[in-house]
Amino acid sequence: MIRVEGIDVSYDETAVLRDVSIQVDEGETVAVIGSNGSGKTTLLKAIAGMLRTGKGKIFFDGMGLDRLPTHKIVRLGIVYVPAERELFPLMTVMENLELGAYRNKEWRKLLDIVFRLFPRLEERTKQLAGTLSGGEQQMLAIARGLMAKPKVLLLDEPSSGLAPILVDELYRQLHRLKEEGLTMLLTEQQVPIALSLADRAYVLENGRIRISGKSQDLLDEPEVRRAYLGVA
Amino acid sequence: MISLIIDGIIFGLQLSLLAVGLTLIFGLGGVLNLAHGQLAVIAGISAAGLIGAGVNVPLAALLGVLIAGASGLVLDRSLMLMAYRYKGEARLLLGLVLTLGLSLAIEGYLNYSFPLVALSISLPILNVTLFGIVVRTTAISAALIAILTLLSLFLFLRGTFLGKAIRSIVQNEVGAELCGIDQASVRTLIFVLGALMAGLAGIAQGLTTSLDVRMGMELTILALIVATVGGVRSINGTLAAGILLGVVNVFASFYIGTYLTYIILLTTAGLTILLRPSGLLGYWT
Repeated sequence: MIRVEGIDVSYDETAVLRDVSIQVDEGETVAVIGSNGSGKTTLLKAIAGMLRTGKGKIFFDGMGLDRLPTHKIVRLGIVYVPAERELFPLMTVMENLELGAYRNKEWRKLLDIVFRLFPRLEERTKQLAGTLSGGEQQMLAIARGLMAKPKVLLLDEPSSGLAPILVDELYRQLHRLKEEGLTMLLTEQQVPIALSLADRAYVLENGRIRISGKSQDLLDEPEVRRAYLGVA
Repeated sequence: MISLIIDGIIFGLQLSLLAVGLTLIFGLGGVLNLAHGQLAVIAGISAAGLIGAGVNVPLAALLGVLIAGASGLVLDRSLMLMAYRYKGEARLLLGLVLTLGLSLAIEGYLNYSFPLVALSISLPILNVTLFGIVVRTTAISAALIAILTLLSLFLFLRGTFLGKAIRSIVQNEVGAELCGIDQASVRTLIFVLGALMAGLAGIAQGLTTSLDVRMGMELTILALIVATVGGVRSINGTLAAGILLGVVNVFASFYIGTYLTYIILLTTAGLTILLRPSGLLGYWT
């Protein structure tokens, strides 16, 4: 569904990604793991059209995404939920969700699905997004992304800044989305929880893909265990 | 005294009508349009020309407003494209220079070609008495135009998908982009809406007193002051600021004299910035 072929991405002449290739098939959940600054966010931003690639190509269902602006990529069905959430702080929860479904006539139906997943948001429809707690804001960000009826959801560090109990709750919902067949590509620093959700994963180190494979195999990989799971 | 306040409020509503467009274009496009007042003049002078050619007043006014809107569209799609290529401060500064140049060019052209054309609309019935106060029908019409337009704008921004998209861009451009909102086309829409409202303000000016070809810069400056006092990203702040400054303006010219009015208006603006840096109401509607 998404095929990234040997892309380079640089910020101000500093290469952040070098020759990165990944693939996400329909219905799959794929994780990109790696430490801070390894280039995970950059990879998602490149797919979402927020950063330009120097070399290489990105395809969605066989179609090249090069030079397409982000809003067009969103309309193709690739929806990016950034770690910064990028909500509309002075608008209500409901308005944020409505904007997620911008130009989508089915938005009421989508709203039911989203509220079933995140009932807490339904209790707070009239509250301003900026006054929500961190966990609720993360749920709202994901819910707003789902309102776009994505074919692929790109999630950047969904667990960042959340208390452990909220991380568990959030991942339960992500598991449900996966069971419903949604294709997801997520980055995560909390490797165990990401690998428990993902079918496959890529390990990114200094902007290059270091290892990739099925989540179960990676959990058994000594290098991954040492670097990311804290097992000697 | 009361009639002075009423005059002030009516003038203030006109100022709000003008300034709201400036505010929206700044909030969305990151440019301050220094040719904004000229759009009001274009509407008024076009209407005056049409009335002179025998077109009836309402139709001439409507056409004048539409011409202002079309001018806004052309401006956004031509000259402003140069500024939109840049971001942040560079865009703002380039926008200032470009629109200032355009403003001077429009004023020069109109002054050269139609030096004597002015819009001054009179209505068949001169005065009505409301709650014991005699008010000119032209002033009431101007106020009604402003109130209805601002009310529609408010309902549009609050109640429609497109209106919400506009507010979302002002709050968070990245977020709006991630929702699939095409900011360039929304920006064009707002530029045209702002131009239409400036056109209406020009017509309203022709109703209350008169509008001539040399007033563009003055209207731009008034709109800038109002937008500053209202907080350049707040719609209801702009409305409140317009009315406040309209009343201040009328009182200042009545008791002190026109020559000091601008100094008093700018002092009011300066004080607001010092006391309430984010504007009179300090938040976006």
